[in-house]
Amino acid sequence: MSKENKAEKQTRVDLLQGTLDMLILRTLLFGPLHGHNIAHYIQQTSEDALKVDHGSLYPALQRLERRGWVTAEWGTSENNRRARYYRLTKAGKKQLLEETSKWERLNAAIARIMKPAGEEG
Amino acid sequence: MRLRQELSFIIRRLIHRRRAERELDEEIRAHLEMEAEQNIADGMSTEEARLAARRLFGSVAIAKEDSRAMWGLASLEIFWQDLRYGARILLKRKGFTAVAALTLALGVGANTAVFSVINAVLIRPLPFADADQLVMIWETQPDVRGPVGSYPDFQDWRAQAQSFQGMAAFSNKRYGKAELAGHTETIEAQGMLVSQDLFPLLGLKPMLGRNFLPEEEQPVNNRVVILSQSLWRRGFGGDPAIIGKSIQLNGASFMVVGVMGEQYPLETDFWLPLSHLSQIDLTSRRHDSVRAVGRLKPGVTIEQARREMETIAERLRQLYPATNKNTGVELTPMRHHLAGDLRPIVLLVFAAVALVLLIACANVSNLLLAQSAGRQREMAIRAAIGAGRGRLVRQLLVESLLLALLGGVAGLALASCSIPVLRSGLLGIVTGKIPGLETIGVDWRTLGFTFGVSLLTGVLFGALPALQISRIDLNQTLKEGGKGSAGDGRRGLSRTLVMTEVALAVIVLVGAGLLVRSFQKLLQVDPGFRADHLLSLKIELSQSRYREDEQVGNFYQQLTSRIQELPGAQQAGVIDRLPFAPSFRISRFIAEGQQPEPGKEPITQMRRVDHRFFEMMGIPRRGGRLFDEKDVIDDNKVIINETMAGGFFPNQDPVGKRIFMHFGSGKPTPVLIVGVVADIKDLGLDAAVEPTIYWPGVGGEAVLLARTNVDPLNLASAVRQAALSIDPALPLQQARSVEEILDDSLARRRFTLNLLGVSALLALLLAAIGIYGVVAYSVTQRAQEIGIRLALGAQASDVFKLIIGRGMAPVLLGLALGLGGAFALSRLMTRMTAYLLFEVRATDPATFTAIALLLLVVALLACYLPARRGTKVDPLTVLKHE
Repeated sequence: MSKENKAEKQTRVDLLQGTLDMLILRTLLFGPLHGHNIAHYIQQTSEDALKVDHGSLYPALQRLERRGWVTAEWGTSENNRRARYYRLTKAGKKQLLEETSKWERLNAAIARIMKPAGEEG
Repeated sequence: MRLRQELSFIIRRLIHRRRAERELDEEIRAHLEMEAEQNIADGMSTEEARLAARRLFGSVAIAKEDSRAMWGLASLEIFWQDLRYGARILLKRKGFTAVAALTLALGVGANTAVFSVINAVLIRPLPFADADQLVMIWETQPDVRGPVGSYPDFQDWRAQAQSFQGMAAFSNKRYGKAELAGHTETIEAQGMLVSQDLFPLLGLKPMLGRNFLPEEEQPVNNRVVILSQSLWRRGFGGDPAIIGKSIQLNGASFMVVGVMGEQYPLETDFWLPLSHLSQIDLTSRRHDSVRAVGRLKPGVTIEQARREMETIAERLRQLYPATNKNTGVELTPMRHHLAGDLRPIVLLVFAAVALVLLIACANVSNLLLAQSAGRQREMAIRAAIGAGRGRLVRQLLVESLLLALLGGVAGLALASCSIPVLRSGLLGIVTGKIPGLETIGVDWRTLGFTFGVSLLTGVLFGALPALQISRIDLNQTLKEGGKGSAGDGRRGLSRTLVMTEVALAVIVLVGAGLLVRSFQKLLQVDPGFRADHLLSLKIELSQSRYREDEQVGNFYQQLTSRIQELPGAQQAGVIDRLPFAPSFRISRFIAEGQQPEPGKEPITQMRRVDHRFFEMMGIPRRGGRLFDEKDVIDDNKVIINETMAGGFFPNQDPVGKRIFMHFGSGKPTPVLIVGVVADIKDLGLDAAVEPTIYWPGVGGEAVLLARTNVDPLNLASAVRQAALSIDPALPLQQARSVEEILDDSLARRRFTLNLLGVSALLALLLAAIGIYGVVAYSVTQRAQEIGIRLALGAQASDVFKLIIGRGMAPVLLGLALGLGGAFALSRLMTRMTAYLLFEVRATDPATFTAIALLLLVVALLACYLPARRGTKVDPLTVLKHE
């Protein structure tokens, strides 16, 4: 495997991971949710544009818990099932703010670069 | 903060591992069920709903594994996987594993064995409390080697030095040998005079009784003795009530005040207060009588102490210019002092075996590289299913570490077998006692060393191949069907490794070669007398029964006459000390007509011989006369050797000239030169001959020498009988032949040579195996190329030349590098082996040439075998195979 290949793959994974983390935090802003809820919220709010493997949610949730951005406790779901509810912590809110602003800056920058190119073409 | 948060998360998961697993399972199951329920509500069948939920979720196993990875335990699990996988691979390739592990075992084993010696001699704590604080303190004089110091100077040091918690002195003078009346019989014992504070300073307590008291270092009330545990057992049956009893020492009575346990490191049977030094030793700053040991204050370095002692020595030089004008001071750590000459030998051998280990690593690296061709497909597949390069490298490194540990265990076994041989060899060359030498073995330090070295070698030989192998081009490899054409990079690396190991082997070989050359030259040295057919017997006459010189003289007269009458004996003679043994007596002197600077007078060896000695030894007379029966012990008539004659009476006849001795203590005594004899190498074959003065007549301690017609040892018992027939109470040791003694004097060299020789052979063997392996492998790899060449009409001889040429190229480079390296290291070699080299310089061209030739021959042989196989390649078979 060439160096470039590897580097490319690495960034892609990082981007995905970071984005997923941000989306989960964002989803939890309105209150505690369990994994299945989160998956559907992301899917619905993105109007199915983002295809998220539900399975990839769980490592992300463990990672967020490990970082202290969410806490988890067992509760009962809307249809009376035991489910693990995740709640945003203070540190998690701070992280979400940071991520959002970073994301916005990045977005603006990319937009600036892409726009003139688009006009010319 | 963040770190603490993460750590506490990891620890919680670690402790509640089971629960965490269960909860994760439950959480995912709940998710899938919720999704399925939703699907059913949307109108799917139960089965469809379940499958759709699964599809949307992706791999449950991966989700779980990735989640667990967040618990921080994943790396451990991956390691465990790698370990099991590595073990399977090693088991599958039994041949490779055996060869590699054996190679490593040789390297690791040699290092472990040598380390066990270093551990015993240089690392393991001495039997004293805080032994690292202990230093030996000497006075230095121009031209005088060896540890010396005068008692008055010592007293000044002790009173003035601030760097030390305490300072004590001891001396072997006067009671080096004593007769001691035990309970049943008179026994011989080795005594030592000690200042009263020596034992407390060393942290030693008598097992019975007490230490000496300060007032016992004064010449009154000093008839007290401390016995060693072994003398107490041997002479007094371990009498528990010995304290306070009187014993006889050289005919005088002493009171036993203590018994010392066995922790004292030097061979001593009893100790007396230092005040038993002779009057002149106690008062003269000129007479070297004591050795001093100091305990540094905590935090004071030996350098600081050395500087302070130097200022004290300077003060003494100012105060006592007559005696101390040229007196300096030197400090040595106690450990170096006790390890003595063993230290450089052990370090030299350690350096050699370390190089051998590096060669072994290079070999195994090469083996791994050769293996890699067969593993390209495996690597490619693993990479294709998502293993990153880091993961592949880690996997390969784990394999290497496993291999290294295997080698380490085998090496430890090899070391355990060779350590007893090493130990007995070392004990054979050590005079006196070095603490810990008897107990050389595998202890926890050695085990730790072996483990550490194994891991290190694993990384060392594993890293390069791992990086090389894991650098794979997926497409290329899979397209080629995993045939594995060895990449250029790999071939280059493999050549570099061969070059490196050849270079290292050359360095070790040159080192050993220099020692071999030295030894050869040494064996050619003419000792200056006939050493063959010569028997020696040490005589020690009782000081109490032989008080008069005349009695002593009569004894030797009778003894030599009787021995000459023995059948098989020719002549007998007597000298005061055995040749080839150190510790001869020396003195400063002034030759008539010369005026050396006071304090820098030249030094001469002093010998006492009887009148038969020169003739019996076959030492030719060069001028004047030899001694005859009329020369008695107090006559100031002497014979000098040629070195003194040439050095101090150049171009003149020394016979009839005078030499002044003992000028330090009062009036110089003139002695008259009556003869000159040829030089003999009695200080050792490798030692330069020093100026020597022979006096007539010997004292109570002497060596009887007998020239025989037959094997001298055949006369051993007859000679003993002759001595005992004159004095039945004479304590006698075993008679030995002088050739045997000569041989012993070379034991240290021989031992070092053997060790270095074994290292060099190992190095050569490993290098040869390395060369062979690489060439043989390249022949297999290039079978196609060879086949095509042959098919296109190349001659077998062309192919042969090609293979040899390619194989020898890195060898020649390595040889050049190694010779260059050995040359560059020659100064270091000279320093490390200074007294091991003899009339051979570290850049000896003959040695370098011989080693180069040896290596070339071995390397050619290692290339020849596979090259011949290369020429037998059948083009048809190879090409059809394609």
